[in-house]
Amino acid sequence: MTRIGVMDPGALSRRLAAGAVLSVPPFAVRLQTPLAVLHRSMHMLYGEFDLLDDGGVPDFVIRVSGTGGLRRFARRQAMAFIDTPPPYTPLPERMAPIMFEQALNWCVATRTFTHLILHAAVVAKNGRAVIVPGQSGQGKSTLCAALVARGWRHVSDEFALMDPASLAITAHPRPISLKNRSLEVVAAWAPDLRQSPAYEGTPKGTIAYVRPSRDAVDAAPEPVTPVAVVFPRFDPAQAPGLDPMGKAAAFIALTACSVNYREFGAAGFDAIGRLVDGHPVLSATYPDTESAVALLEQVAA
Amino acid sequence: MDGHTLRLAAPGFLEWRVWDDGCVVFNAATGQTHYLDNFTSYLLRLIEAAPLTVDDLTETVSVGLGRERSAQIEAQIAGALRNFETLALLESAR
Repeated sequence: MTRIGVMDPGALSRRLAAGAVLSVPPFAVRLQTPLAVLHRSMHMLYGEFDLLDDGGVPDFVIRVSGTGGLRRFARRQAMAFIDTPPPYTPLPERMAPIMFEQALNWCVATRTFTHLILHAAVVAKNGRAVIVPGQSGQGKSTLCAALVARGWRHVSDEFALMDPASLAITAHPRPISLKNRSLEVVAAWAPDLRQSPAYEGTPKGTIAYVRPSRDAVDAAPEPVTPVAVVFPRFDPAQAPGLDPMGKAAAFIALTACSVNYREFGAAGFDAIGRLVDGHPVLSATYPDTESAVALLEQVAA
Repeated sequence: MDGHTLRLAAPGFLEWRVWDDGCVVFNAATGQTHYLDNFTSYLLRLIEAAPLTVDDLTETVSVGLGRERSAQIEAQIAGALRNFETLALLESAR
């Protein structure tokens, strides 16, 4: 194994151009790309991850390349290929790192059959993990980055991979995706967090990523046990507060956040039921980052 | 539907989680999960316990709720039964 961040950038470019297998716990991902912008991004954002020197059998195969035709000459685009047809609209070539993240998200969401997957960040303090569910734009990534900057373990930013039998969560740390105003919020809150360049003009506005720490990647083989579920709700007009959710409402909200609940049938119903029955499910309302972090500290105490 | 016997579309296939704010039921026959409020879950549980006619159901519910049988209760039950049929939870037979 070779840690990506210590590799010579030229050597990394050659490996990625030819196709290389990365360890993105718990998955092995084969990435092949000729795009220099993605080589640079991988060196920075995945600097604490490893290339698997012996290749091995990847869970997912992703190719990100330029498009053909006249697009080779004007407004060059990047396209992600996952075995066969890509599920995404191409983006300008400078946004190739976003294409890779989207493609990997798609692979995890549609090709993971061992874990019940929730759209959720997962963070932990002193081994006590909190699941923070939410669709894109609801503040889970901002909260995740803010907590990581205060020493919480970055278990996952996008997906909670839950074992349906034990409810343990397998870590899947990836670059934390920040959008629009959250870039400034996180930069002001934690100027030491390493952020990628901001990609302006994406379909979701401006996006940047926070590089996962070495601690987060090294700890990835250790699953965590959830102690609570907290639905975040940013509201600048409200005082901070934690409110218990009704169990039935919580169940429905969690199934709505799951990308593969239906595939698990009765086992998924049972798992979400036990999660709701055995853990507090709370709605956290907060007007700013400071109070959001304080509320989560209270939950994990 | 008044004279029909109401029965579950797939007896033995329902799993329940019941809480104060309502309940969820998983129908293993369809793979669907449904949220039911306390009133509708009460109806479905009565039908699950034993097939019965709409008239018997209405009578049992009225007694169970301690209320006079009324057009309002009948309308509530009729609406719930339509939903159950739409969700493939219920079938009725003469």
